[in-house]
Amino acid sequence: MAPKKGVIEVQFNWIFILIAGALILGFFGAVIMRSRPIAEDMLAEPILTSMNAIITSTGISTRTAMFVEIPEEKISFSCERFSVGAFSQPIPETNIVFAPSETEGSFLIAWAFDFNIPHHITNFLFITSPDKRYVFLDPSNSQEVQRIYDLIPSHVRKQKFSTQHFSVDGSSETRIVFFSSAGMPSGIQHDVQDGISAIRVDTSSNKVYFYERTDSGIVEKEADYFGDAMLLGAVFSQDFEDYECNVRKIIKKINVVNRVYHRRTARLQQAYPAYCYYVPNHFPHQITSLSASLPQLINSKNLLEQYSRELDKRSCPPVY
Amino acid sequence: MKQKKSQMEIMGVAIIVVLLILGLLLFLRFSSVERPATLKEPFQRAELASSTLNTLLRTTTGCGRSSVAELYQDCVGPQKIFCENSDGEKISSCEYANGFVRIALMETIGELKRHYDFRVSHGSDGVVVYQIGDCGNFVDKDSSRYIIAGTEQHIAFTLDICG
Amino acid sequence: MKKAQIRMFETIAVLFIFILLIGFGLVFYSRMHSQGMFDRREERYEKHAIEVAQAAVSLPELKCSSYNTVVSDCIDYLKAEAFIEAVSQNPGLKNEYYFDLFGYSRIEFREIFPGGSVFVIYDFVPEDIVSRSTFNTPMSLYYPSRRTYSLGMFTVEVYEI
Repeated sequence: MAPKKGVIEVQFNWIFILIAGALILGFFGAVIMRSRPIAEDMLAEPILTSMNAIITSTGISTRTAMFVEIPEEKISFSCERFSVGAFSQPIPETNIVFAPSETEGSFLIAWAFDFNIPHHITNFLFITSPDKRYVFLDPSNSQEVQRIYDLIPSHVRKQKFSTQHFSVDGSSETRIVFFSSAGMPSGIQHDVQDGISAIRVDTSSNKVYFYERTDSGIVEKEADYFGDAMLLGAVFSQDFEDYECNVRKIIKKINVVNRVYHRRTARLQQAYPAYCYYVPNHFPHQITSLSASLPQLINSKNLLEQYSRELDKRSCPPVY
Repeated sequence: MKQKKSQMEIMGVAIIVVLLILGLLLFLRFSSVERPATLKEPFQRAELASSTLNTLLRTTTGCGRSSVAELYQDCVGPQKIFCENSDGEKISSCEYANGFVRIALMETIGELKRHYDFRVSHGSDGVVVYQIGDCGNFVDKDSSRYIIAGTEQHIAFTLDICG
Repeated sequence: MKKAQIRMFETIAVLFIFILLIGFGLVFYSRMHSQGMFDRREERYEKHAIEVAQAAVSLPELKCSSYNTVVSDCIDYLKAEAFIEAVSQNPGLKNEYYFDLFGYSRIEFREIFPGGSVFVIYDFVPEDIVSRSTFNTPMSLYYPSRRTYSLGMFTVEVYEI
């Protein structure tokens, strides 16, 4: 009779090995599963840090495009926040950022543009990505539109046509910028959908119109702009709400800066003789809405530019 | 034989444990070493050199409201500016500027406990007008250089922040 | 029976030592990880001090300029005075608007020549401070009414709570 002891022992041994092995594998599997989201969050952290440095404009010269290399992570932007994965950071109210709602890819294009009225108020930050296309349509082929078009860095994917017809291929996200005071052609309105947006710019009245598709059809939303920087802001903004949110931040910044200049000018007025013509009221600092204050801002800008030339001739300290 | 085999196995495991404990001790030893200077250090040094020089040269002195740069322009040029020292004695623009720079650097970079070398030279030969500092044999340094036009030859200002 | 017992004890001993090794490994990893996180946090605060300093001196409300040509490393005295007054009269500016930019920090300018005045441009010091990071740089203070530049030190102190 063959001994049965060895047969039982071997079987128990294998059962024991299987249980121990399963436990060990399960343990390591659990460790890996738990550390994976932590690793993803660690990947988000340097992106957040470098985006924060860019947004606070500590690393960007104005009117120069900068390529920002990012890992292949989706970055979401709104007027008040930006986020990478589950992490988000607020955009300070002092910083004006025009960016698409989402970007994905290995790099972003960032460029800062100074906003002057005529004194420097702040820099706007424009963020876009190589897959976003900006199409300028200018049937009148004006030099003014060409000048604005040339302000956008060449790295940005832009095109300009002297026509009011444009067929969209839908292969990439497109923003159509149509220059006309007469209205938006129905063909372009019809093209507005997911991934294709359109705005109309009326340079004669400083107005920009956003066209959005709703359930009831195409809706036109009117907004004002003041200067090249704000016009470019309209071009690079996500939509009407994003643009208006940034306009509110811009108004607050104008009020803060002008309040400082107002007081500074009053002091200069006291310190210098009357031929140094300093007028504190050239710095309005109680603006509540852009549409209501636009004539005042335009008038102040013109007066400041005019008087600064006079001050210079009279060897008086600059007013700004 | 079987007894020796299992003994050998246990010995093997024990050796691995001993090696791992040694590794752990070495790691703990090296992980507690102080980290070297962080990113702030080299950035601050370079930034400090450039902003100090920039600021110093444009400072309005008490000598006829001339700036430091203007005093040195007069010093290497016509020498028409005369200043008063703290005792009320008349001194040249060179003497005044040198004294001003010495005190200014002491109260700015010196207060930050940094070592520096400041040098004013003029002309293509780099004739030294004034030099002060204690960089000595320091290898790590960041420099800032500023050149202005003199009456005949250019004047170069160099500030090294070292250490 | 004894042989089987010995075998079992051997197996248990091996498992025990194995678990001990795993435990050591986990201690290693967590120690390295937390050290790395601490270093990154420190580095972030140092960077933040520099960023706050750069943001402050580049504010149009403070920096020297002549018809939009920027004079670097310089603060306009009249602007600084107006800024300090505006912030003190409007708590919302300090607690919200500029807090977004400067956070818990103290920004001051100490004049070295000709006078010894100290201007506190921004001051939001928290009650409980874990650590602080300081950034100092020489800076000019421009007096537009006299058209003179004084010499001073610009200090930014950032606090971690």
